[in-house]
Amino acid sequence: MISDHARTRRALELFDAIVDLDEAGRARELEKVAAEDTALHAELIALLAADSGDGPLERPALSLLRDDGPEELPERIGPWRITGVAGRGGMGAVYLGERADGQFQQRAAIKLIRFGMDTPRLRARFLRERQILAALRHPHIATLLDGGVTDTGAPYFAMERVEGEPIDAWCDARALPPRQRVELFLQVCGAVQHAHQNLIVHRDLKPSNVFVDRDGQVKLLDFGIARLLDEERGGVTTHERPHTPDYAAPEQLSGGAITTATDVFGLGLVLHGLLSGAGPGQAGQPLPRAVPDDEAARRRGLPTKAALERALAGDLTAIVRRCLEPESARRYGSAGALSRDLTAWLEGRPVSARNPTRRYLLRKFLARNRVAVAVAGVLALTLAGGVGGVWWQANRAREAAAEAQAQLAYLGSLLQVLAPSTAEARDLDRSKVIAEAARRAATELADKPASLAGVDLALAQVAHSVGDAPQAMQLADRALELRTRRFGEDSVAALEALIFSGSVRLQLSPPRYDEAGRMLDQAVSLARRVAPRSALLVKALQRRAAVYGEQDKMAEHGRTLLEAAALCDGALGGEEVCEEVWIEQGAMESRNRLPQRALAPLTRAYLARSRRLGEEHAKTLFVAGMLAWVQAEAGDLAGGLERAEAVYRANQRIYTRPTDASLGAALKLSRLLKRSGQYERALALVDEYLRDARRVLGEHHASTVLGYSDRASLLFGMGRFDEAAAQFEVVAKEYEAQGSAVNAALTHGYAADSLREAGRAAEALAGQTAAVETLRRLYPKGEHVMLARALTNLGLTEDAVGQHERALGHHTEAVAMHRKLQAAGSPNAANAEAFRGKTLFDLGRTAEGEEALRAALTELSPAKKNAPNQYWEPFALLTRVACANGARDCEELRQQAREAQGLDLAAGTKRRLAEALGTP
Amino acid sequence: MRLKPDMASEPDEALLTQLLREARRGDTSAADRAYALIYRRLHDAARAQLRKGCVGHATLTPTALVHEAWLKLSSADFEINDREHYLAMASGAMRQIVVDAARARLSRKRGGQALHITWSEDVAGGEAPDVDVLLLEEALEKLEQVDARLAQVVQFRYFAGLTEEEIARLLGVTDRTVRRDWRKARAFLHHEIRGVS
Repeated sequence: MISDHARTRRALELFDAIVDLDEAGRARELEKVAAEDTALHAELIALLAADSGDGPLERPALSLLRDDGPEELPERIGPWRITGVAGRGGMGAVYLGERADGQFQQRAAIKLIRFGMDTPRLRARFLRERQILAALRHPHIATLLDGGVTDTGAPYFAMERVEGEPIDAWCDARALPPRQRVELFLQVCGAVQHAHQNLIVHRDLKPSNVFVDRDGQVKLLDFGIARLLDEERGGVTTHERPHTPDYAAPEQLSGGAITTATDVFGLGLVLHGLLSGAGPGQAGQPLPRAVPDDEAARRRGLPTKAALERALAGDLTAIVRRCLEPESARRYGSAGALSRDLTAWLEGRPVSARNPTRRYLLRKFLARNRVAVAVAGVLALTLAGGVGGVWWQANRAREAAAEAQAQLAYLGSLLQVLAPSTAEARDLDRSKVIAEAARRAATELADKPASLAGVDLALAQVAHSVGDAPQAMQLADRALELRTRRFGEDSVAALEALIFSGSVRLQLSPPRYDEAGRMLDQAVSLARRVAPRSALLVKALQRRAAVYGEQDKMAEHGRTLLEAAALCDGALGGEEVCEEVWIEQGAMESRNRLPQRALAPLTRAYLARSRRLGEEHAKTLFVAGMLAWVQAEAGDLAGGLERAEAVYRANQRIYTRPTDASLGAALKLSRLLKRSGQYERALALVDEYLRDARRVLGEHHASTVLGYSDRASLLFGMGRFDEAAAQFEVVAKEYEAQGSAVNAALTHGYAADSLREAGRAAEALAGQTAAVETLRRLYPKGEHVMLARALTNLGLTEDAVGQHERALGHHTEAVAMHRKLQAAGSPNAANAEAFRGKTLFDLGRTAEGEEALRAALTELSPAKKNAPNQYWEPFALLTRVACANGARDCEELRQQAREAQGLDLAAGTKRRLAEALGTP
Repeated sequence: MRLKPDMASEPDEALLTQLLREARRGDTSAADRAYALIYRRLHDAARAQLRKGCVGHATLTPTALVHEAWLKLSSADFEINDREHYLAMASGAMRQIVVDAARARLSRKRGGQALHITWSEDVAGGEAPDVDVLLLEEALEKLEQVDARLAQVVQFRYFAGLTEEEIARLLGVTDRTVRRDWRKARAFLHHEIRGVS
């Protein structure tokens, strides 16, 4: 154990030695350090990162030194007698002053600016502008009392003296919740609006310019002064503009036109900070995500960060976002418009910053009606969706309107049931709420059977979404019966219910496959009759395929899915259900190891979702992730990697905390990185993944174990074999605990591989033999690719301890097994064949060995690009054997091997190349 | 060992010559008094510059302060080594001036002064640079334990604005070593500070 200081000293030494190397050189050295000492490696990486970064040493020491000694006060500034100093800043000082003017005494804050007024013309304009500002009177604006230029040419302003604190500190000190903050903020908007009506722009709105006085009234300071100063200085020294860069609107930084929209931006920044507690640098973050910590939430009367995030999500986020649009034309047109939206939010009315979708308006309606029971929201939303669903089939606008009316009235009555004011509602659990809703629907919509039929199915969907499958089934069955009675057996309405009713049977425990299959068969044939070439037929087929899939009837699954896909590839491509179809088709092809054929459907699904939901929607990203993987599998590793990288980054942006989606994206990216030889980054990503997975899912969760297993195989690839062996053992123990014998056996085998590569072949032999035995027990017919791999590995270990005869037997068995199992084009058999060739050579059957190796390499040449390790490791063996045999192309092979050393290859492969070239 | 400068007046310029000479002979109390004198000189000079409104201007650089103060203090009696001795002390003093100022401001701010009136810049806010200074000081103290020479290079270069040649002479190493030391020290300090903030 070395001390921290000693390690740091060593890290600094290494830093010095490698900081000037190129990237490849650095990576090589880092790899060596990593093998030696992980803590040292981490420290070195941090130093290298700090070297390229920024920090306080970049700012001159004395810029940090400010004048703060005792002040010599000027006696007078203009007509003002100076009584004290309020503060000092880079641009000047603020003094307290008073003026005895006849009968009354006036007190003011006086700002004296350091730089001078250069010309009489500038001075004249300064004084003229000052008059305009002095005319600006508003209860929430600190009035400009006076302004002028001192004898020494320094301009000054005298301003109404405000005693209080900046708005953010004031709100924090009182732990004001978001709502009260918004109410207070409306005063700010009012003041800004008033100034705008007088054609005065503030230009420098920020919390420290927005004060709250002792009466709790907002006072805006410094109105228009920024502009005055800008003008006076002729805009020459732009870097010393009075506005603070953190609070500047984009047009201020780029020198664009300053308009009232500039102040809207400033208002947005202030509001952003007031609500989230984040600094101005965080304004790029959408509101909920900017909340820094629980402390910020507590200062807003909420217990946790998450609670505050929830409170800010939605309308407030949209309002702030609209203020902060980089393009000024897309912001609110005025402070008044912002005010109106904030007022609407306070009153629970729709805000203009949101797209007024039906869903959104309905939610506002619900919120206004004070339905606090969370489930009511879910319920009503889904109801609204379901209600919409029956419209198309009625196909008559007036009737649809009447239905909607009836259903809304029903919704209203439902909401009363759910209102928290009734004791029963509080006690109702979700399933009871749904049952109650269904009961009321049956009575209240008795004379509107069409509506009732719609509501029943909608309620079934609600029940499904809250996880109550039996109730969902019961309601769907009732809807089916009602619809059949009202619209007939051959109606689209009945078909819709039939599909749902059939599908929901899969969710029961245990699932009723046969019933589901029967109902969906019926649905498919009904759809063929009444709605051929419709989305409903696609849906019926897709659900039917899903049932087959669950039952492992893969041939039927594929056939049914492809029929649905054929419809989607035609005129129905725009239907939402087609996205599901394409995704499942892609997954199926990919499972069948036909990545080329998975590309097209996944691309279609991806494009459809990007169009419908946007690039960064979780559902779009899900498909993008699949697509990335398939792309890489199909041979476009670079393209797949790029896409996986984009998905990973988008997930990082979207989710504040790790989710299945973001974890999956990280792991996928890490695997592709590994495949392209970028081990360091892949490992960093896996470590990040593990940190999150352990925290969120726990140490023993399957996903966590998966991460460990990826980490182990990365370590293996990096040549950190001892660590890999230990990590594989951890994984094997987890699998054993989970009762997963196959995985445990395989993993013990991998651990043994690592031991062998670490030069501990003797220790490895037992583990490997055990792995093979376990797999033989599990696959007595010997037909599993995993068994074949285990055999190869056992053979390699036997080779390493000199048991070549035994090894030959195992290699030969592995080759035969792969030949029998593998799809055309798979490199597995040839790979095993190569090892067999090397063993033949070691046994003295040199010509035979070389022949086998050459045949294997010919077969492997297509894998050269996308599975480089699987190509170059056998290649190294061939080079060694051929040269030992005195083959004529020995030099040529060596040359190729030397070139391959420059590629990103696994450590084991590199070692074999080095061995083949006779270099250690 | 640096010591809090006492502000008792020691006006005589010749005194510094004397003190430095005694310090060189190993008299630690003379060294302490020389240090206090330099500290006060530099402190006053910096304040005078600030009061003239030189924030951000070229005249307010540590190099200028340190060298100007030297010119005022020096006399024909100085030997060549005295200047180097002075530079070493002055750089320590500059470092302490900056750190003391940051501490004082922070404690005042956190003590909470009642009346705020803002200026367009940093009258009300602006705690960050002070915090940075203190983090830097902390990191620098750690660096002293890891590698004292690296810490000295930072003190000379960053706080006193000495040139690489001057530093090389002071430390008896080559310019190139100074450059390499600076880069190492910079990486170390930025890493340390980032780890904290």
